[in-house]
Amino acid sequence: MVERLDFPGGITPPTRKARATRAPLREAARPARVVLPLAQHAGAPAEPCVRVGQRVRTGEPVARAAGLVSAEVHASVTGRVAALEERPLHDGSRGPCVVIDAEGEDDWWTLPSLDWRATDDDALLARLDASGVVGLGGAAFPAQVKARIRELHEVDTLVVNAAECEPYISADDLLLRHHAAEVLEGARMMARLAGAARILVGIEDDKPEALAALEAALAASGHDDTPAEIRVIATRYPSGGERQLIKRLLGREVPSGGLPADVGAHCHNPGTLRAALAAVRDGRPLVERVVTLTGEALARPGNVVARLGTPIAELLEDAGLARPALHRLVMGGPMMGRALGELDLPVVKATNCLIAATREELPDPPPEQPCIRCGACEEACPAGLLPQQLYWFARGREHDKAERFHLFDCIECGACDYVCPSHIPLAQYFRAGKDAIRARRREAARADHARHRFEFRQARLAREAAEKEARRAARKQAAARPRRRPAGEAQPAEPAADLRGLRIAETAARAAERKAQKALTRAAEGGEQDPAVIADLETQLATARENLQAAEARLQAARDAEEKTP
Amino acid sequence: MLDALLDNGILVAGLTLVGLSGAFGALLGFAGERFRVEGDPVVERIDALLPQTQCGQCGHPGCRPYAEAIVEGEAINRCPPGGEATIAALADLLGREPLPLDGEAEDTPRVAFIREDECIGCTKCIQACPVDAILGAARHMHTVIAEECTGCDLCVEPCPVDCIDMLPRPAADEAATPLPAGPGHRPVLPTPARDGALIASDREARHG
Repeated sequence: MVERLDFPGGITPPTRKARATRAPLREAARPARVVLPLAQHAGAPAEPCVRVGQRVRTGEPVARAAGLVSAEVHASVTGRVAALEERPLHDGSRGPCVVIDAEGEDDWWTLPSLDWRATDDDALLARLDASGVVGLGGAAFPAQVKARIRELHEVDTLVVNAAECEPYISADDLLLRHHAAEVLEGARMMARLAGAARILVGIEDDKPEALAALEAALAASGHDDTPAEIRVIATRYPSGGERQLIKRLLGREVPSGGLPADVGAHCHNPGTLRAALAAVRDGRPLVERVVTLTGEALARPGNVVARLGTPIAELLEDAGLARPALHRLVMGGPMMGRALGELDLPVVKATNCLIAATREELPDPPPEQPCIRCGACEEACPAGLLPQQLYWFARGREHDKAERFHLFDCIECGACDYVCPSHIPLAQYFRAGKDAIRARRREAARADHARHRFEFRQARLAREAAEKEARRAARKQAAARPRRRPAGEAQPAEPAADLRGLRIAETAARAAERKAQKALTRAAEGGEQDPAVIADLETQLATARENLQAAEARLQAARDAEEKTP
Repeated sequence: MLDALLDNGILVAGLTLVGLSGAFGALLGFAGERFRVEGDPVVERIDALLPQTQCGQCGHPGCRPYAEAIVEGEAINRCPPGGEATIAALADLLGREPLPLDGEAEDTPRVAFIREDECIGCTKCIQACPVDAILGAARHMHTVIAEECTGCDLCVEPCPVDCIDMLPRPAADEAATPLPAGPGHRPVLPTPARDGALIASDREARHG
């Protein structure tokens, strides 16, 4: 039974959470200047809607969602827009950001407060959309897109992912200690939106205070609410991965390439739930989040509520950063986080943790050694993959084979890196492999699209030629008729056979056009997210229409010729 | 009659085989008619491997005509935009020997760019573009829809004022993760405090 209700593999690295959990949650100092990247969520970057020099209030939108999967960005301080410019981002690239210079106290811009129990789903979704709420666990996927899951899937359980399995991170722990009731209320709201009949909170056993706060909040809640249950699970990395957590709590396995909703589960991070509730109940857009500040290079580690866009350097200085001791700065956890190359970066919606580590604490990775095929990675893999096999495929750029061995089911948790005796950075190989495959797919889609446009052009030219031919034939006929009648020449019999062929061609073209139309409608109704796919289908439909018109023109010309010749 | 037949085992076996082959032959013949594949699927598969730039550098008016020519026996090394990767894929599909590329390989994907103040609006490039990626009208400025351009060069030649440049295509929006260097190398992680400098920006300020 225990075996069935658990995911394979996993590791138990030292958690190192104690330092940051001693101090209570506190508000970070309000920054003098915030930098808000327009691409701080999964999906398309937002489009700015403010001018330089414009005064904005705290919570006012500064960038609108662009496209179906995107999220709004809101001013996190009151002040003037100082610049709209390209700035360094966390992945080492540069991207557009809105820079705001703060002035004085917060002047809140809020949306009207709503009671979610008395509000319909559409209004709630619109509110989540307008509030820029994204998944605060680290993936930053827009919450309103996720909440629309009901349109496509049947969901029975909303899972609150409070496992927080990665070492160092304690943002959810502290959030639950202080705001457990709000998290539960947010969970009920999102459960209703998703159509889930029950709530399941998954929490690891290394967070007794958060567990106590949750239990107290649960006991205090009303009886008519959605039934909620708290499940304590043994601490093991990566039980906070949504697939792993669902397997552990429900014993259901999310299919390869599928979504948790395929097995009736819907997963949310506690921070997201609280932010969603704040957006609805208080009308406050997402402008702040809990960030864990930890690492040996900090004198006063702890968890702070920081405004989005706060410079990382400021937060770390406040926590007593010893700059000479700082060796590595990691955003996120040590397993899946990203090492940052500089301190001049802002807190974004995905910043759950900042680790200012010393050299002794997170030493440089040792040189990679050859794979000895020991199989330790295979035992650690929580997704049940064969990391060493995938490693050979990634190194040899055998992408087809890597895909066949389910590379895309890899959650990049880094458990295989951790156990590898040869210190092979396996997860990085897998990321590189995935990127290469995605790039290849993009190229293939481009080539397909170019072919469709080429076909469209060919069809258009053919249609134009056919129409020209038809006009020419008509003119010729009109000119020839008066002369022919007295002569009484016998017409050749071939147009009849020709007509039949043309009629078949016309019917086939009509069927092709209908088929293209149907494919486009299906894609549009099926919630196709990628505008390029829609554009491509439109091209194909246009091609089919050109072909149909050409066939019609030819048929008409032949018919005219038929009629006019007795 | 039946007894005599049953006694003669070899005859029974022979008749059974004849009957079976007749039945299966009829079945196969029916299936061949019923599920006949329209068009030549090999052409489709070759076409899918070609880069679809429609550039005509192979001497055929587009990728599909070249795919048809390959089926007829044309060499598989005539596609410069596809490069070695396409040749390898074609060799794999057709079971032919991979040949060295005929012509110069293009190292980077490119897009056409019209220097718009020099354009006289002659529409010659519009007529040459195989994928309708150039927008404009007679005696009005033309411009290239960069998203749709396949970088085929076909618009460069007809331009009477030479105002079309082929520029490298901007890289895809997502930065690709590099493959690690392999055994014997230390993975490089960005470190804000390497070499005892305070932070990266301080270091720059000191040197600059």
